[in-house]
Amino acid sequence: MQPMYRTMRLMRRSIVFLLLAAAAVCMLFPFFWMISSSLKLRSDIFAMPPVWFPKTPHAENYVQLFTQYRFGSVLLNSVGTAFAVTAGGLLFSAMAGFAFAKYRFRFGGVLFAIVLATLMIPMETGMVPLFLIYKKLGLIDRLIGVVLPRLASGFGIFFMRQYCSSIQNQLLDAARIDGCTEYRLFVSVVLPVLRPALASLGIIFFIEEWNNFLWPTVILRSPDNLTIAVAIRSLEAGVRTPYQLIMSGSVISIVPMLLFILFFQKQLTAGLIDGAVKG
Amino acid sequence: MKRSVSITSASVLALSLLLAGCSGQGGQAAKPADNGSNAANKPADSPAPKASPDGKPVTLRFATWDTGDALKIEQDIAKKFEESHPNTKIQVEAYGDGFDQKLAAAIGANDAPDVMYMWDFPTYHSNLETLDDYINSDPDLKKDDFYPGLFNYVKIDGKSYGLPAGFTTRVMYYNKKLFDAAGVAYPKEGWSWDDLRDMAKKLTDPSKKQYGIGIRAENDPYDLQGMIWSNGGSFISPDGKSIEGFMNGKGTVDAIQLLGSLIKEKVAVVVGGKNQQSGDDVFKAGKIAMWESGIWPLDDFKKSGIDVGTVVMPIFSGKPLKGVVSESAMSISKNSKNKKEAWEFVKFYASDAAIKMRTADLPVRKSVADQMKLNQDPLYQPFYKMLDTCDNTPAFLLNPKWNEVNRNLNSAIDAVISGQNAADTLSMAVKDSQKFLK
Amino acid sequence: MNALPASRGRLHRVRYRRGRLTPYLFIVPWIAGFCCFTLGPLVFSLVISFYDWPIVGSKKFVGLQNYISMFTDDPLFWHALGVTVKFALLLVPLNLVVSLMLAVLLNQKVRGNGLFRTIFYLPSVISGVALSMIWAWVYSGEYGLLNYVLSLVGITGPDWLRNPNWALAAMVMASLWAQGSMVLIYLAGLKNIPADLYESASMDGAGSVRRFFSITLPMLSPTILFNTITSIIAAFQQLTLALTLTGGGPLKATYFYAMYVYENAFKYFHMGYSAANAWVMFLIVLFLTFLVFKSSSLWVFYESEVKQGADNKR
Repeated sequence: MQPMYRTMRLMRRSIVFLLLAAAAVCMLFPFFWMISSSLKLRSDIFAMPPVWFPKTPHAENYVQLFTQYRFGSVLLNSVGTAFAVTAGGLLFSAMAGFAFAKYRFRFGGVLFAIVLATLMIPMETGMVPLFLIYKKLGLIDRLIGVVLPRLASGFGIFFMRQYCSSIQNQLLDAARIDGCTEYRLFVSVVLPVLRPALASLGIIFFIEEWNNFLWPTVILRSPDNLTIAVAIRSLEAGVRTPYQLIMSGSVISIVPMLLFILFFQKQLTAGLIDGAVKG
Repeated sequence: MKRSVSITSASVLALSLLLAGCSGQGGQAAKPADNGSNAANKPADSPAPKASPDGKPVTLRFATWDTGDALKIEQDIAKKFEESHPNTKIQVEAYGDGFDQKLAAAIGANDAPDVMYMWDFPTYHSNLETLDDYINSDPDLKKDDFYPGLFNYVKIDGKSYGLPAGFTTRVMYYNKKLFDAAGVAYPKEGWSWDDLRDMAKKLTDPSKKQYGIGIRAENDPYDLQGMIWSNGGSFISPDGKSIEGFMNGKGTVDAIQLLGSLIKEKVAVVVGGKNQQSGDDVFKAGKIAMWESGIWPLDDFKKSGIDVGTVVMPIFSGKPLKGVVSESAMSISKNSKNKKEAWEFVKFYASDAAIKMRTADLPVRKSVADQMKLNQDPLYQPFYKMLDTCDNTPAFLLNPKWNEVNRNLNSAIDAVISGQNAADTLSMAVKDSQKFLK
Repeated sequence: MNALPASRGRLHRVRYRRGRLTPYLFIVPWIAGFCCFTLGPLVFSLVISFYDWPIVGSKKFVGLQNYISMFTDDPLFWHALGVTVKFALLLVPLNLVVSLMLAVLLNQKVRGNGLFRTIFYLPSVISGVALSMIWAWVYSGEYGLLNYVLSLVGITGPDWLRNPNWALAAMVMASLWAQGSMVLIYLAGLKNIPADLYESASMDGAGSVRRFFSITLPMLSPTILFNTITSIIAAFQQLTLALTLTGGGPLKATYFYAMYVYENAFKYFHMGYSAANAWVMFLIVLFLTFLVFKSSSLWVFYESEVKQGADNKR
């Protein structure tokens, strides 16, 4: 009986592994193409038949981005804004999500409906008015202007509220009976329970901000103030778009992302296991 | 009590964090007392000092739609200008395809760049400085040296809102090697669209994925006007008031249908489209024998080692050849605080030195073209011959609502390229556009 | 979240007394940000929607004219709406199922699943422009990767992005590819399902399929609700892909509503009309979300409700 069970399990795992591996190849192949294209001449990118490996790698594409497009400052700007948005957004989302999930309060339903409603508002709607407001506040061409509107994330609140809903009330009540203040309750009971959710949402926030371009494109303009998504987007110019630069820019832009994911992969895994054990 | 205080303070802390973000930047300028005289406190990214009647340093914001190598040229021109004008700093802002979006938002917030690239004068002219006084009174400018037709494209109601910076006409490029291999004689001035069709037939070899000519999947109706005028058609009446019988008139319909039928006959291949291999690239790869375009790709074609020739556009038998000019100009924002410096920079852009640096389009000054002997270069000659035929007024200058009409026209032409009937789609476009012309 | 039973006595009172001000303090940062950066501009945009408001030039009050001409005099409005609905109908269900499948696979104890998780998430880190270039190349008719692969099995693929009949389908596939965050959200939900539920089910002899339908799906239903709503909204607001991959073409086959709003504002500069467009979209999505939420009481299951129920019985 035992060996049979083991074979079954081994088979099942192999199938799962193969499925995952096949999906992984699909996911990874474009990256290969992106890296290879970033080292090509523009004309080779659309060559027929495709050039898989450039004969001579043109690393000067990268150099051009740092000299002509000041990718040094651009990268710093992106790291700064993405971290600010992630940290601030997580805190505010968790606070509000917890409140909506675990308290009954006047206008709570209405306010939560408003949170949901903010998700549905297309960014373009408020763009011009917001631009006028920014002009008044002197926020145009400032990175802080990119960060501020992202802190009040309807998505984050909704996410956290869904997550907080599954926290067991006994856990909270027990802490309350022990004399825990609501503030301590949030910091030392709720936040730890939320760790896997915070990790997931944090990664989502970080990456969304890293790639955010619509609003930053509108307000940022000095070459030294651009974020990387804006800088890459500003390379687009119809048929004369320097595709090779877009590709090298994209490669540069995913390196910090990879570092971020790999670094937080551990946190994420740990958080997830934690959550599983506690749940 | 203590409990509620702690939670209050938590929220207040969070709120003040948020507000600190708000005022930290916006407030710094508003509260000079806090910063005292400490100039180092000034945020590094604050706008550089403006106002300069007495020669204080000035930063001019210059917005362009160019990227890559073309942008490099502009950055170099700006640098050169800074060398000779030490008190003026040029901040080149490259908007790429986001040009209109960013410019419109900036104008809407009363925050336009001082100097900008411009072509769409009907849309923007009310926010631009009229330059006639500068142009006529500045002795260094030598207005007569410009190709005279170029000023027609920067004028609205007789006033000039820009200074021509570069232009191109449109010609037919051809790949001599492919012509030789197929035993077809090169096209010559005076050739017709019928000739083109015959040549294209002979130059097409589906087994090699080689075609006679490439046609854009998405055409800018503006660029097709030369062909349409050559066929006696036009998008709009000369007074700019009606499109019925023009946009769907015989001359227009037949010209556009011709593109569609070349594709149907499989002697033309559809190229380009967003993020797709452009016609320039396909031509360079030697897969199309003929390619209609402006001056922009010429340098690249020469460098890529194909044996390229140029020829004026074909005619419709018995009708005169007409061409269209694509022009970029430099304009100054009406609300710029540094118009004097801005004009200096705009003028510098049209100086001999700057024009020579601009290899991507044709010189706007006759003297420079003569000096560079472009008129004698067989590759450049057709561009100048085409210039002589460019005496029609493009539709967008005739009607202030043209952008709206153009939207429908654009879809109609796209539909023809993808196989629909030009008479039907253009009539539909006319019907859908009538409301804009009331 | 739902009404607390009155019989809960002491606990209820404790929570209620302390709860008066606290929840407001928790949401104050959000409210501040909301008022500054969302509500303000939104009210402004509602005002604008009653104007003929060219960004460049003078404005004129026109009452409901923008709304009227949208419904009666603008075929493009209906077209863009139709394209968007079609896109959402294709994408949302596919998205929910495919992401869930990947998440379930990732949740298995397989060698290297941490690595797989990272790999599946990778596509969502590429920014819009690069992403669209990659897809343009994959979909290209003549020399694209997809048609090359299809030709290996003897199929001649269409010119995906230039063919009005296929472009939208191509768009759906491209959107599916970058759904790493949804997988991640499912995964977080899966990890949160107590292991003892599965253990006891296994002991009761439930097979893996039954465990999936009787434990995983119900326990995951709040997450599914979340993903359903956010993906409906995302589908209706899809702009980046249209803007960067096809530009709305060919023949407006991928001309999404968001693109219509965007172009009216930033290509044709009808700020008033565009604001009215955006408000209509907002109302449509609001209505859809309302429907999903209303239906959720039928299929969403909150763990805490059961626990509370158990408490009450005690």
